[in-house]
Amino acid sequence: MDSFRAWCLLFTDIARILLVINTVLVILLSFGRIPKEISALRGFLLIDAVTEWLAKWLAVLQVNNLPLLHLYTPLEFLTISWFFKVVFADWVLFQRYFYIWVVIVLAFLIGNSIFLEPLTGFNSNAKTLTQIIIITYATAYFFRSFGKIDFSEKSAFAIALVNVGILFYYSGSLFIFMFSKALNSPEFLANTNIQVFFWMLNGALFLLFQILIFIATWKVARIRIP
Amino acid sequence: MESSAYSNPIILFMVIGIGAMLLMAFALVLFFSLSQRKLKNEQIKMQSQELQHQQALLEGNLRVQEEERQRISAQLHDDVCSTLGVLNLSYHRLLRTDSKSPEYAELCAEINALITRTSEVARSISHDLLPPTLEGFGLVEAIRELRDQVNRTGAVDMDFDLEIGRREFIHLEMELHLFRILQELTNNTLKHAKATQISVLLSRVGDEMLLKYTDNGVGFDMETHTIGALGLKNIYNRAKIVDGTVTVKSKRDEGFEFQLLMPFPTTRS
Repeated sequence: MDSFRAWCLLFTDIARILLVINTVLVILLSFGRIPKEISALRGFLLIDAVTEWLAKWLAVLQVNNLPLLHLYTPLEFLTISWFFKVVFADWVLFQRYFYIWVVIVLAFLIGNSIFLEPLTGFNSNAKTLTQIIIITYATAYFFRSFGKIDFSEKSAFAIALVNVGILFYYSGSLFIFMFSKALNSPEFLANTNIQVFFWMLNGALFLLFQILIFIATWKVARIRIP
Repeated sequence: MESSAYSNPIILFMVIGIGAMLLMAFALVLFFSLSQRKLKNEQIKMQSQELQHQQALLEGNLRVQEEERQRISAQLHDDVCSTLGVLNLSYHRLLRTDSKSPEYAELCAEINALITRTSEVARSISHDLLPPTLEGFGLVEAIRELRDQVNRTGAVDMDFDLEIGRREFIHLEMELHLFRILQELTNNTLKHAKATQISVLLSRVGDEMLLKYTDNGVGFDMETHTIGALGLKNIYNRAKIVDGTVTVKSKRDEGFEFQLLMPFPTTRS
């Protein structure tokens, strides 16, 4: 159990540090001339970094940090959707209905936190929906980019790398968040090893996600767009 | 960990779900990456083929240009220069001749004949370089003139149909390419096809112009003859210059059909 917990802490903490580095890097590079798709990640990274460190701080203070998840989920959806709005710049249908779509989903996410799932517990419904949408975005990216990407071009490679990270992280953690409420039930609370195992897996995937974002940012940091 | 917790259906479902999702994500990324690489390789291969084709066209162009220069050079050397040489000699003989002698009048007539001949040869060279009818009256008149010339041979009956307005030809360079294509096609027919009928049609297909050429000659087997072997390389070169698409159809003993579809010069960017 201790071993699982140690790995979980290691993965999560390294990922958190990398998240901060990525956020600072992307924000700083956004002032330069990096591809707009990578710049569009800054909102997501900033929200993610603030939430992660705030959650850790609250955990250290032994205060329930789950209300943060309720706040984070709509913001996560909003910022990731914005990233894909920039990525899918030539997808007319997506651009046309983007704001309507975002408003509808946000209404559901906020409504879920107000009426369905209490702020002090996991928001499995909202998180599952958000993750499915994000997985769909990433999958759509791969299908739409098929045959169009030149991997020798650094910016295209970087965007593909970010999408690989998004696809892997959100696919892997979908079932963890989907059953997060179940994992918090008394039956599993008695066996923290199972809980820690799944959160360790989530931490490992999150670390992989941050590593891929870091590589992507590093790649585009060296290019200049005329 | 307790075995009861591991055997819990929720845990089992989660493990299978996570595994399946990661596997699908991995498969998608792998498929995307491999397909992308394959596509890239195919693109490189196609680019390489296109480059080779361009190289062949360029070489063909240069060869034709060189042959044309050699022909003009030979014509100038054999006809114009030699006649001018004779003219020069005659002139000097004339200077030494008494203007009242009968030889003087003969020399004058000879010089006049030489000047007329040189002028005709020079006109012929110039005509070959740029047909005056084409330059002065445009492609339609030039094709009509070509038709009349071909018909005068008595070997074939050539007809020409025009289904577009004359005003649509405004680009001399393009007209010259089209005319050269027609000249080469008629030459091929006269030399090799044993045809009795040639038909030429100029018409509009949507936003494009169609030049259709058919003969009822012996034709050829498309599978055993290459473009180069058929003497169509120059035609393809010219078609490429005018952004045209060429279609050739032929079968042994079933004649020959050539179609060139190209944008109108007025609609070209």
